[in-house]
Amino acid sequence: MLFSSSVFIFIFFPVVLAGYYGLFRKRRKMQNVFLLICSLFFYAWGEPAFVLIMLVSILANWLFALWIHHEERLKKQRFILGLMSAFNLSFLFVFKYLMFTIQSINGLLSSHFSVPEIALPIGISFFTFQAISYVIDVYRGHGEVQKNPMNVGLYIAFFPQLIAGPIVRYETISEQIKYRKETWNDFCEGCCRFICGLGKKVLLANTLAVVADAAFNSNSSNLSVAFAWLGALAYTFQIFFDFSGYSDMAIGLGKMFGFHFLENFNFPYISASISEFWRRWHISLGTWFRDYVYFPLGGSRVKRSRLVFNLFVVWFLTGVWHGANWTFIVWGLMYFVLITSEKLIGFEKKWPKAKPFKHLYTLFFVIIGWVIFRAVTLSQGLGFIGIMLGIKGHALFSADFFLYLKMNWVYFIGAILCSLPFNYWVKLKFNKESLIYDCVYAVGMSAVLLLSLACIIKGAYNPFIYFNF
Amino acid sequence: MRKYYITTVLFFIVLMAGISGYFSDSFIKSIARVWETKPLKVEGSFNQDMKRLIGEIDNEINSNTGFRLQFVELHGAVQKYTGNSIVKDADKTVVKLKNNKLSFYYFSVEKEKLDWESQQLSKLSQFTNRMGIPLLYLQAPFKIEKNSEQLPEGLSDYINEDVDYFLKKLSTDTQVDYVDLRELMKIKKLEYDAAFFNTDHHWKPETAFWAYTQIAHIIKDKYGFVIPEKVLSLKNYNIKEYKNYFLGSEGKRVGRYYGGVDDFSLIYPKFHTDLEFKIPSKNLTKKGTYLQTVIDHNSLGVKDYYNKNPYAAYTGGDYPLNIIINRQAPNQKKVLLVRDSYSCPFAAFLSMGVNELHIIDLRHYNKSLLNYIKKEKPDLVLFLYYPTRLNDFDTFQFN
Repeated sequence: MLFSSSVFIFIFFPVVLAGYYGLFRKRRKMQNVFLLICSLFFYAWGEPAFVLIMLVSILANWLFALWIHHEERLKKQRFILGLMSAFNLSFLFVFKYLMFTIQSINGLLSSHFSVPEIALPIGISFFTFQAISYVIDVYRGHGEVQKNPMNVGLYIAFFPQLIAGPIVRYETISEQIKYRKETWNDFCEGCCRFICGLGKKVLLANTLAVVADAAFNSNSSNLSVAFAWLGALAYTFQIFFDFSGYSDMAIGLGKMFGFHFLENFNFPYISASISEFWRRWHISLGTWFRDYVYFPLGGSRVKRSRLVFNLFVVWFLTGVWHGANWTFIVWGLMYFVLITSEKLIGFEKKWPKAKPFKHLYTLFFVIIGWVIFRAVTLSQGLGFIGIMLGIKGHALFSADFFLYLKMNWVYFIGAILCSLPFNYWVKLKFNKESLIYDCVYAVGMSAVLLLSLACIIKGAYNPFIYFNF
Repeated sequence: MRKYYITTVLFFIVLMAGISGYFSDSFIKSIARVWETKPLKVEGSFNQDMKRLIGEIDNEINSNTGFRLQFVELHGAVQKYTGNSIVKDADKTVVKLKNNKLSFYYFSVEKEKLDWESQQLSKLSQFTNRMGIPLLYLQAPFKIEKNSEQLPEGLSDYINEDVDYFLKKLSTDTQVDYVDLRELMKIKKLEYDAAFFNTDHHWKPETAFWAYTQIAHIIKDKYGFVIPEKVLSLKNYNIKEYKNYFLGSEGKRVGRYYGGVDDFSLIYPKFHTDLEFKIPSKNLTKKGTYLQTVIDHNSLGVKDYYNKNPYAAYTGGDYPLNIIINRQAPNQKKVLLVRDSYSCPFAAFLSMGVNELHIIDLRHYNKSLLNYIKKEKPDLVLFLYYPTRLNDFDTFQFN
């Protein structure tokens, strides 16, 4: 089920609210069971059969955590940790990477191994990473072990973050599962955050997706330099507003039920370095890799060669996590090269007066990265970049560039403004207690809500871009 | 915090408005209908069957949301005022043409598929010829005139080119008889843009009537049908005009504010008629005059832009099979018309010129067309297809 659908907004969400705050009010255990059942239903609405796979993951990781908790010998605990990692990663490998691996082997060795047809359960990367986080955090003593599998189920399958993140660390919400406190303030803030995310997804991401699709799906021989840039820029905004919109909706929904998730995006496009970009982009994934992969490998307090190796592992895995395709691997490795170079030359501390250039450099590589990420094949991505850079001799402008720019310039301006911390500047200008500001805010948010619902109910283009994740 | 409180209250008011649509009989009935007509059956996997069922329920929930039409109109108004000439939906794209008409946007058909379709038609033609039955393919015109450049600058489609290729294949490789109504419109200097609705991809009833007279003359000359001028002259028909009455399938997707609405004409004979109109799939037979039989007054009775389709007033819309028997016919000829929705008014008019008109829509008819021809032995087989039918391969499966 998608947040940006009538069934979610008008049926599922009100039913969950009514059950949670009406039927099971002030009965925490029942509320948790109810939320878990609703979350499984939420997942089953899009992936009816795969809900069983998620249940297997929940039960297995509940057992792993109990086992690790009751085991006192460090060696044995590490063995269990290894077993848990092997279980979860092989789970992920079979559903997500097996086909790709066999296809790649066949391609490289000209062999003919049969490629099994395995459908990818939506959100498997998200819920597997949360499951791993649960067991590791229990092992590290960063959260109490859950004796009740229902609570583990709720942590892993809680519907707001289930299919598109953020990846919620167990240590973040281990207390909240039993002892959270719902307040009217949180509820209203969460509601506004949800509307904000809905607007980002429906009004900006979905609209700009039409431009990106037109550019990326057009015949590459007719693609002009300007239209290629417009398409790349549209996708740059699409993926940001789609992803951060989903995160906003998840954070908002969580708040409405008393959960406090950490922020997942922090205006990434204002970054002045690639390293900073990744501290602002998909923060939950970055910190997951930092804490569960990079630090255990030794982090940055190691020899240079080891540092390069550690970074390579992290960025290779980051690429692979996003999908089983060479495009994602190359995209991840591009960031490995850029971030390693930045670290080795101390880029962030150098040239403080060249900030505009640093912003441009960051944006340039981020956009180039998104082109590779969006492309169906690596050759398509490289060809597209070739056109953008003008090395393929394509026309500078074309009629489709002007057509799509004319139709969408309002949305591009909206996207640029929403990519900047505009909201904070406005807040500083206005008195916090100003009635005018409050009314303008409420009217503005209501307009965003109505326009978003108009698109949803009308059945406007509503792509789901996480099917690879 | 006050701003959050106000917004939350407004949010729940909007939510309640949307939810109000589900407390209606029509919603409960439509969900029950989905459940009855789409039972879980092992066609594909369990997952696929469930997904299909869920998809159907999703659609019903969406289309029954309270104030849905107001939301659609709001969306259309925003598209209009932001100057958007391409409105993309999950399944179709509507484009505003330079002449302010709306059109669906279609992708080109692969040449191999066009080849296959022309061969299918050729095989059918050979089959009917062996039975001594002529076959004539009528190519309905595409809403956008060939080489007219009506699409917004920067957008192109290849539907007319696909049609040209297909018809060329018919004439050179397969020798199937055809009439290209696009060319005929040009020769007869029919105003192309005025021939179509603004908000629908179909031709206007007036254009369908014109096509009927042209085709009637062709089959008179070519196959010796006797069709008197009495049933061909528009002077012998009444035209009842319904002003601002029709919102076509393109218009329904973008709302009235985006593309406006259309007038609609009901054309019916002044002379006495005595018909029998059969709809076997509904077990229905109507007897009486033209207005009492082939005109579906339910589609026309009340002006309702979103829930009614006046175009379907002619012959009642799309059915697998219709049979019209004209007891006052000027000849004893039996014609089989293989059709899509373009034939609704055309078939109604053609029924005036022949004794028996059998109408089959292969999008819905799931039996063998060949067997039907064998059984009924018509005097003529006509095909009337809109160009986008070339992208619907099932309508070229005749076994």
